[in-house]
Amino acid sequence: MRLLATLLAGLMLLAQMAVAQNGPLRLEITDGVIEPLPYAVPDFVAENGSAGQYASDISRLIAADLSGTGLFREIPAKAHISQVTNFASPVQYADWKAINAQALITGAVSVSGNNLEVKFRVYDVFAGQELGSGLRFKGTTDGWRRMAHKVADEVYSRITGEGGYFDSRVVFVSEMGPKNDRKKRLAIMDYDGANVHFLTDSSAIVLAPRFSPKGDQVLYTSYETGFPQVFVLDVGSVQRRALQNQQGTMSFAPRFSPDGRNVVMSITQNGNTDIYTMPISGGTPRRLTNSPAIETAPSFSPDGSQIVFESDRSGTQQLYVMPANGGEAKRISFGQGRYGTPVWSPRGDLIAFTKQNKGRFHIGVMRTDGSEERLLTASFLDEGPTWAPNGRVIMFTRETQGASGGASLYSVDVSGRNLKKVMSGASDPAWSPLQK
Amino acid sequence: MHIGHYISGAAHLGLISWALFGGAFQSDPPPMEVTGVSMVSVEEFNAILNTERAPFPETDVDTPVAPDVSEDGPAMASEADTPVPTERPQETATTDPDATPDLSDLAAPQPAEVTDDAPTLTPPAEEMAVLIPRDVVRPTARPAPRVAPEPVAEPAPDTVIDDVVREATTPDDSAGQAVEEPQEATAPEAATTEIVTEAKEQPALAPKASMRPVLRPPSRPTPTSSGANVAAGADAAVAAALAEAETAAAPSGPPMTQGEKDSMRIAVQNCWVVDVGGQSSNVTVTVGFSLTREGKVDGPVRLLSSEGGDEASVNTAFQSARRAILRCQRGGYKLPIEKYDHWRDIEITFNPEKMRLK
Amino acid sequence: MSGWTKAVLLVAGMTLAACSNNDGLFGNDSASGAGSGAGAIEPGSVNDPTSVAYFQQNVGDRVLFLVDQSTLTEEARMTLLAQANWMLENTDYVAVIQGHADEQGTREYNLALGARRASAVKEFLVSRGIASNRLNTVSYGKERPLEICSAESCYAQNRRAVTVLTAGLGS
Repeated sequence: MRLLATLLAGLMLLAQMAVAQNGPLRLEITDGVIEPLPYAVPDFVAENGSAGQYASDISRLIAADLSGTGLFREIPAKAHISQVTNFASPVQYADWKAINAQALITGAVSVSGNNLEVKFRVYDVFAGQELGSGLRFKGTTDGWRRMAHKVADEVYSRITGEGGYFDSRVVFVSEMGPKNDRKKRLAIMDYDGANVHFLTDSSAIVLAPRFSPKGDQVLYTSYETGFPQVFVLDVGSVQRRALQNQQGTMSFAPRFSPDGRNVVMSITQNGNTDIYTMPISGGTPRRLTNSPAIETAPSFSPDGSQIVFESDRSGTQQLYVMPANGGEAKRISFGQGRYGTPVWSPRGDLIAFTKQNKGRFHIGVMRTDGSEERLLTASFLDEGPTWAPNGRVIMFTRETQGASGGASLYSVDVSGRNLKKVMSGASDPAWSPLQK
Repeated sequence: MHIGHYISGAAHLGLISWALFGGAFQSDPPPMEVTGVSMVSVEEFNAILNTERAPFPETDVDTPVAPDVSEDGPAMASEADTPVPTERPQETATTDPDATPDLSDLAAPQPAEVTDDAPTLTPPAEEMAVLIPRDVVRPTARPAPRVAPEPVAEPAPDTVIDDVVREATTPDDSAGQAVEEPQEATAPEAATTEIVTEAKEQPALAPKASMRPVLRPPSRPTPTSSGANVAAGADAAVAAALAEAETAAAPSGPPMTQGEKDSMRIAVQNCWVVDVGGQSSNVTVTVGFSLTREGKVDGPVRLLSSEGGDEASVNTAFQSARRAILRCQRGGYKLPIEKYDHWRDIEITFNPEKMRLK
Repeated sequence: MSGWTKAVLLVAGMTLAACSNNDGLFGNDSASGAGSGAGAIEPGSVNDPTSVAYFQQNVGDRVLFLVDQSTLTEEARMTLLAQANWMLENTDYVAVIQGHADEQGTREYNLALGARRASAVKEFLVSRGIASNRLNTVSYGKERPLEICSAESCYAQNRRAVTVLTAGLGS
């Protein structure tokens, strides 16, 4: 009996040893979590006397940029165990692990006269090493916000692997007054609402401004001639001119081509609205669509080869894609309701749009062939999406209902998370490319 | 004649004694397991529906953490600092990341950890639902900042946010665990199982899935061990098994059970953060690493292979996978020591395809 | 009678004839000044059939549309008929037809819809004999609502085409 037991045990042992040589344990994980990444950005070190305020302001702005994305969560200073007093000192990873910071940003600022220099490093705390290498930015003191945004963009892109969007601007229409006497004027601001400047006065209605690919010009629609016409404005000099002013026509909904040389827009003649293109330098508009239906809101793909637009040729507003030179248009929207204001993402993978269904408005995205439609918002009136330069965030206009209703700018992540208000009394936003 | 009397008498005696003492022969009903059920107050229930950001972790450093003395920043050699920022490369990748619209039904929470509690918990939730007045503000924001495979109830307001549920332990802890130093109550951050955008239907007043009870530490699946006597109480069992197995048979041991593999998978997946809006959520990576006998990562975590995405997004996906493995080890992954040969080397494939649909 | 008296009488007669009003106006409306003396009509006021105010109040300077429609309703056609007749009588005016939409739509589409409405009005007036170069169209989309509540009662008033007269050389 005992012999049998021992024999069996021995056999089992042999068997297990054989099995044990089978190689590593293999697992597949398909269910993770979606949560903001905890990080710490202790105040940057002020390397000389006058840098103190800048160091602290820059650190706070970096934190606001990162936390504002909804992808990062700051661990506040009062939770920090060790302090960073010298940019060159080694990092005590254990101290940052203890407070659960997964990323650490350290930096230093120095000021001399009007010149400002900012250095920073990013660390992956749990891997115990630096992420990428340190960088130094040089600029002037009144550009401190842009420097902070550039640091935040670097941090963001090292951790997410994608481009950032913090050093960018938004052009929009500033609105004042009651609904039946709205005063509108063009304005420009940093993406986070700082540094607002006006580009026109409110003597004429202005609508839907759009940036050039370099961010140096703005196309928009103005009633200053008494009729809606497309104008071009130079952002630096604030000089403007009408793009074309043909008698008896109206033009609106302009957009630049990705190479910045051409403009695509709607022109209405004899009550019929179609899509035309012409060089930014001027000339005769060339017709791209030719139908008795309303064709408007054109938007180029980032490679310049296609245009997405809205048309009601099927009876209701839907989205269509056609080659950039005109030609056969393919419908891409098929859900319930009406689709308008399509905008191609700078990443080329998605098209954002406004959808109206059962009395509600939504901002949504779909793939460029119309599949995988997803709605991101729902309200009384949402419209006019614009993409951040990295294609991950959308800003749009939200109007509230009723006699006292007003327009505000909102932004939302492409996953639908992190919906938040950017500015009140504003509409028709357009996001600039990342600034150089 | 007398026989009849005897039989009758015996029978009567039997009947009487059975009536009096028969109870003694019945087997006892199985011992009642009494477990703590967290009762949720109306305020807490409302808080679950209207969850704001979870509070930031407190500073208290008493939570014991195995100090890692081995790290030491080589990063200090100050690298060449570029004087001027270079241009961000244009994003023209045409990979298709993003998600599909509709949610399939939520998976019910894993029963393994809460078998005794789940049935008893739901009735209070329903009653609570009735108590809430109709004009409670329906949440317009997402119910929780965190999305995880299992829903987690909002912890009591003064618990420290941590990935492990612990109650504030006192020296006479009844679960039979090895006594640890007194700790603060900790609980995972509140989480839901899906991204709720504004465009989706308003969530029902009652939570869709029953809440995990806050106070009960999760039980781990009991590993089978050929030699040791398995004690009741999971952690105790592992501790006991560990203790006994030290003296037990050869290191090769029997193969890992599915339950043990699952425990490792679950341990890591809770720390695996997926960036669903980004390109890296298109990338599947397989990483390899080794563990010491204590279950701690030994040596580097290596990228073995990847699928999809460009170089930058593969790198991001790898970093995320590596962080998950390093963060969740804590004092060491809890795996049966006698099967060490089976789990010394591990390869994990991280596939975010399902996550994109959330 | 002397030749001179005859001449005076003749001149007076011609003067009177020159001062008489156009015939076409009397057929339309009871508010004409036919009954009262010619001196009681203030030029430019609502009572003056040649005034813009008259056009706005009595002829009707606007027509309304159904949701998403730019086709003319029966009521609209009647108003536009009156407008056409007035403009045929008062050839000194040109007009800009403003098309509008309610707020239940996106900005560009509403601009185009307003343009369609204005154009529908212009086509009708042209078909009734108004010279095309007397009419211009413009669209304000949803930018100039009249009524500001967010309900159908207000929306109905905002879906309109307004004929705005300006004095100018019509030829």
